[in-house]
Amino acid sequence: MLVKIKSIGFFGMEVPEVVIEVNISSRGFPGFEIVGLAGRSIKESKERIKAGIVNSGFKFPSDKKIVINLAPADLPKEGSMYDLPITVGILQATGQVNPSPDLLYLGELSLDGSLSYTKGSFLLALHAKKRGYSGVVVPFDDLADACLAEDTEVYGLKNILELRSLRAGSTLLQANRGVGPAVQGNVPTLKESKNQIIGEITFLDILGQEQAKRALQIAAAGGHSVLMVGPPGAGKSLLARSLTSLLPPISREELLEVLKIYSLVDSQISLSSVAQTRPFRSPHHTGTLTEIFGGGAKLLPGEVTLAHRGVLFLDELSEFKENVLTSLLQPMEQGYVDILKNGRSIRYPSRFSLIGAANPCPCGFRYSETTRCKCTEFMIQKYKKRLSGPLLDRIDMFVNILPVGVDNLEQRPQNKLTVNVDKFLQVRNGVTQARIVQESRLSKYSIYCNSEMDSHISKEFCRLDGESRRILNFAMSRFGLSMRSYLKIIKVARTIADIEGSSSIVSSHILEALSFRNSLLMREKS
Amino acid sequence: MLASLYMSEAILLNDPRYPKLLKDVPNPPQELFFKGRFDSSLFENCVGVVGSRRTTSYGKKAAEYFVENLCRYEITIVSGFMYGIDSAAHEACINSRGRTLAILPYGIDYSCPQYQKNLYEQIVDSGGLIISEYAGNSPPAKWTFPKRNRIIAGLCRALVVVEAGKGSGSLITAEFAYKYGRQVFAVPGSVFSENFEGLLGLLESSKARVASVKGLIEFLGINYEHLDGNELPKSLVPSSWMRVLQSLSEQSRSFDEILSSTGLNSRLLSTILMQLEIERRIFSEGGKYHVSKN
Repeated sequence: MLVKIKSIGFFGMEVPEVVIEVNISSRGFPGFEIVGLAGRSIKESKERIKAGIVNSGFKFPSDKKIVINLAPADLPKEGSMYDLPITVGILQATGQVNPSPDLLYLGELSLDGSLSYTKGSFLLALHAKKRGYSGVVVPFDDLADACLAEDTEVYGLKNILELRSLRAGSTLLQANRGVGPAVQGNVPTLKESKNQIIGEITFLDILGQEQAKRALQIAAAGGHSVLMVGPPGAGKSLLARSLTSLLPPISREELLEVLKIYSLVDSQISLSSVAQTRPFRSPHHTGTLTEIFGGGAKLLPGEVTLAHRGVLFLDELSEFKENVLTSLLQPMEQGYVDILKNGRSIRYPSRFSLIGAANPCPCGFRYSETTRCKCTEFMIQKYKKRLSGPLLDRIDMFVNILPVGVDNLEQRPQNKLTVNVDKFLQVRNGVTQARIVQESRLSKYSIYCNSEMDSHISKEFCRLDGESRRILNFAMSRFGLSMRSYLKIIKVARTIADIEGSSSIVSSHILEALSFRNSLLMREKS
Repeated sequence: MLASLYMSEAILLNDPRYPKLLKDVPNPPQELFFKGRFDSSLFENCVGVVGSRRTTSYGKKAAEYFVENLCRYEITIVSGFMYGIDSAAHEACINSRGRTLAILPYGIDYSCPQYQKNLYEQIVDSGGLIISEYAGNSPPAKWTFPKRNRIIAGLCRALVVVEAGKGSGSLITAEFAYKYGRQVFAVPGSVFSENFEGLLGLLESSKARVASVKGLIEFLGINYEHLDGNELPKSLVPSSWMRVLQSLSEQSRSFDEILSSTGLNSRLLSTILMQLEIERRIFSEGGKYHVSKN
């Protein structure tokens, strides 16, 4: 007898449908075979399934020839997720359960017949919704994940005995309607916010550094990239980490992309915690090409993809391997990475805000007033060459960080960007409002923030008035700026205007955008 | 943007916006048409810069020199939008971030030549005006040029003539200026140059005096300062800039330190520092700002 149970497979970001065909026949030698490019973990399923079925009190047809085909047969399959659909197929083919048709299954089986948490339920639920299936069946611990996909019936089973209740017409077990994550445009109220920010590092913890804070606010609002240059101990890493408290709420569409990515990765992070905020990844500079860009045997996404729609923080930028730095160009320019292995190629999205921290010279003390720089001119030139180049060209803003001398800094309230909680919340609201403006402006081009605009789209939305154009043209020749810099500057100016709530870009926006140009690790003359 | 896409407006003689200096001349234009954003401050300190259409490179450079220096004092440069000295003057003004008025010898909506379309746009975009006595599309004719010249002369307190051959139209403008009681300044040229002959006549008949930047500025009653590079005269430097410069002249400071010592708002400070850097008054290195030594 032939039974077909449906599930999903993975191929990069694609989620093709997988059909588990279960054929039980009395002809031929008894046996239990799984075919369809099933990887090792799937071959091992046989033992789990046999034991699980028997220990639950079901009968295992050991006198029959059982052939499981995982179709399509040319898609490599991995993992333990097919335990449940295979089990259902066998039980259904032997008439022991009769579930409603039109359901999708996924789950790992334990030897005692219970089901344990398996990654992938979110994608399963999305697929079900897309193709119009009536629901999905997953392990009980997967419920939270699966419910992140709205409008799908999700059944979370604790063990396979509960399969009996899934028959057509019976009361539904653990039925849940999907619960949506943070919705776009949801600005937290002041009261909520105050409670939320306790525990995170915010600007409130950082003394001074007004220029850096402003650059980070702009970066958070428009998805721009920032390079902070300064000596060791000045606060670069602290500033970067404080960015998480400033990031705008993630929109529904962006969140779907992020959840899809995290559903593929074998990490400890549960999908529900991913759904709270935008990703913040800070890989160590010893990271390999594979760890950072993706690949490996399973062609898994790398850090740049895990940072998609969020922040990729590269501390000690100069210490990263040269091939890593050069490879950053593709994701920064295109917003995706192509990973190739053995003739197969997979495209993963990678639209992130790059936040970098670097020393101005190898020892870090080139501009210090207190410590003498130990670098020779030759070392400095070589150092600049490492960082210089196409990568710097793609970074939108540059800020100098100097250690803050507590004694010579008077605390005058009106200067500080963030002197108390309310001021900080204002800064954050500026970010959120700017995002809302951008989303409504750019949605027709399927992008979410100003940094994603190409030159064509920028032309449409970044018109300058006469004064601004003059200032910018003058500055371009004065500082030897390239056309690429021009594009960066007007996009940053657009974000600055958005934060201010101004629909047009005026000279003060351009001037401020210009103040973040690369004057430290320059390629152009000053 | 096409000339026709800018909307033109009209000002009648009895309109309060009508430039006073022009109103005072005998037989002023009954109606003035203009394109651009009207601002009465444009007419407060006007200096005309006119000259030959067949310029020499010296003439062009001289025109630029005068215009660049005049612009620093917020003087509006007025000229006739013709190729030659007129264009050089308008362009130099735009590049110096000043404002200029172009008086046309044809209708306000008449299409200007292709090679001037850019200049046309830039004049309006930089806060200047395109002005004409003639409405709509009326084409240029022999008599429209002298008529237009009287407007140039009428708007300005001083007129600078850069180069003028014997029959040059700019001499007509000079005559008008003299007649209207405005001061004409003639730019000295080479005694061997044809383009100086016309001016010689003006100087000999004492209808003009020899042009110098200092002389012009002082004639206009403005405090003259010798300025280097891109400096602005002290009277025109905003006080907030002075605060920053003062703070930095005490010692080189970081952004945070300048914030502290001047008490300025941080966004304003960013824009001021940027402008000062553009003007080469200060430079930054490794996060510290320093006053430029010049």
